[in-house]
Amino acid sequence: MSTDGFDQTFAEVFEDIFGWGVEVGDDDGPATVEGWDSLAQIRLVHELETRFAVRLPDSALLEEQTVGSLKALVRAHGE
Amino acid sequence: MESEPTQLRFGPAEVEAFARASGDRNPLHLDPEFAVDTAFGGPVVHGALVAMAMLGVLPDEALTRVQSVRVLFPAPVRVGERLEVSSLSSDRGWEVRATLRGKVAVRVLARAEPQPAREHPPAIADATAGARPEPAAPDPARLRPGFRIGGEYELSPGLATLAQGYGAGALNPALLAGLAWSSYVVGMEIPGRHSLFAGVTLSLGAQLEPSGFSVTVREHDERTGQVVLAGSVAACQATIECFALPATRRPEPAALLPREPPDRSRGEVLVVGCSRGFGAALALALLARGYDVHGTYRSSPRRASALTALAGELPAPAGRLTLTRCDAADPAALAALAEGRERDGAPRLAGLVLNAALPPLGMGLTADAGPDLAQYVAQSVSLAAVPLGAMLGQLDEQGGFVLVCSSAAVSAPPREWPHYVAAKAALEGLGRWVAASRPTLRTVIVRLPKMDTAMTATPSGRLGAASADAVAAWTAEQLSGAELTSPLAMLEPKLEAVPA
Repeated sequence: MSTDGFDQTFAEVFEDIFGWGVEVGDDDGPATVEGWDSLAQIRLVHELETRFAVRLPDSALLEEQTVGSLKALVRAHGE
Repeated sequence: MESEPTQLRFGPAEVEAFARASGDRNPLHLDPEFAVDTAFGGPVVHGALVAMAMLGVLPDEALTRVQSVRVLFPAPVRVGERLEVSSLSSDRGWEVRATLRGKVAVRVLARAEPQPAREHPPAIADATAGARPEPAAPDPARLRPGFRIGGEYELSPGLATLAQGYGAGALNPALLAGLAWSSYVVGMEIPGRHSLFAGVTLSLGAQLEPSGFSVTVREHDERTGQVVLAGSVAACQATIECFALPATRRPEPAALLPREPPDRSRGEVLVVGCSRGFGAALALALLARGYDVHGTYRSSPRRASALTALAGELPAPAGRLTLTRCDAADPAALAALAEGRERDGAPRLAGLVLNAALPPLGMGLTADAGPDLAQYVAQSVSLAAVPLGAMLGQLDEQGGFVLVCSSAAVSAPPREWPHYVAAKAALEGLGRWVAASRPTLRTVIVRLPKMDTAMTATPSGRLGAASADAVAAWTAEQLSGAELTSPLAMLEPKLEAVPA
């Protein structure tokens, strides 16, 4: 997947979970994105796994993540 | 364009009316004793009812144009809670948000265009359903991708009346039906009894199922219980996101037995908050070590009788269990309990366990949520201060103990629980005061880890949770052993997590 396609899919997943117009950078996380709580993170991980056809480790579900750390996890567990 | 915020509140009568109109009679909404034994701590309003009422804030000329609706339920709304509702219109459509406890609890996105439908997986199993009077019991076969149910879904005239009452009468009836039906599917069919509705996308389409519905499991994630369903009812296509929640575990007497033989001369322990979870397991572990236990509980008579039955399974010579139903924060009830002990010549009071607590729902700390936080802390402190005030005078100076049930959340505060962290820290302060003012007693503060109790029967709750039985057995060993000396001990058990 091209970098553009990768980022585009990420942005779609975030919109799906957090609603319209949410714009996030790699440093954003639960502290800066309204509604990013433990339930939202589970849905986020599930949606990323479905869209990118990857399986992320349990730490992705449980530990505090940022947009950047989730991107790194998807890249490391993809292909 | 943003609207002026309005308020919404749902009482038991509104919830009952929606249950009748939709057929979603899940006990989480209707049975207070069932609901109190969940992570939500009390009856929860149907998310679909909240969404319907939220759509009612949009003007009729907008509602008549709506072709698709996406609803997200990030947080539960309990019966009686007040929601702030505001709406926003943009070039994409209309967005309505409902906030409480400093968080968005429900978000509704309505559009004038249909949503592209997701593909249905091929069906592998069929079952008939519809108008089920009781929710389906947990069954892994019903969560398997490809599992499909179909049946009739009668739309009651009551639903249209309800919608009109909330100002949502102009919404397309098929979307209204889809909203009520998706609530019915999650609460009654898949997953059924132990479930959480997380979101739904509804879109008007061709009349696929003229007189009924079908719904197929598309995905099931075993780590968290997340389930994605695809289906249709009347002229409405739906993608439903929900969770199958773990059922509450009963304590296992065999896991609670002592290392040393029981000693029946230990006296009595008052366990405040003993009918469920850690309190129930600790009561059994103390009985198994020979203590008599006098337990109090507030809201779960069914759990209390289950505890009596479990106590009967302990090997002799176990202690004697007495149960009193009362609110631990009620001064008159606790004073009566203390007087009754003196009058009846009860055994010496060897210990007091302060375990009663309120289940924390996630909170965001905003200025508006500040008073909610303060109220939670005050109620939590009352549940310990009132029993402590009533019983402190009776505690045996020779080795008597006060166990303050705190939480590992004090050492590692979870982002969503500022009220819980503050309440548990306040209890620890109370414990320190007991240790300073009554130095001959043994005051023990235990920071309990995340455990497999009702409080953690949530999508992420059981990941990394320890067994409540193991933690209770460990704590009872500490209390009955000779290691803990006065005036103060801080315990933070580190036990292995049980597989989720």
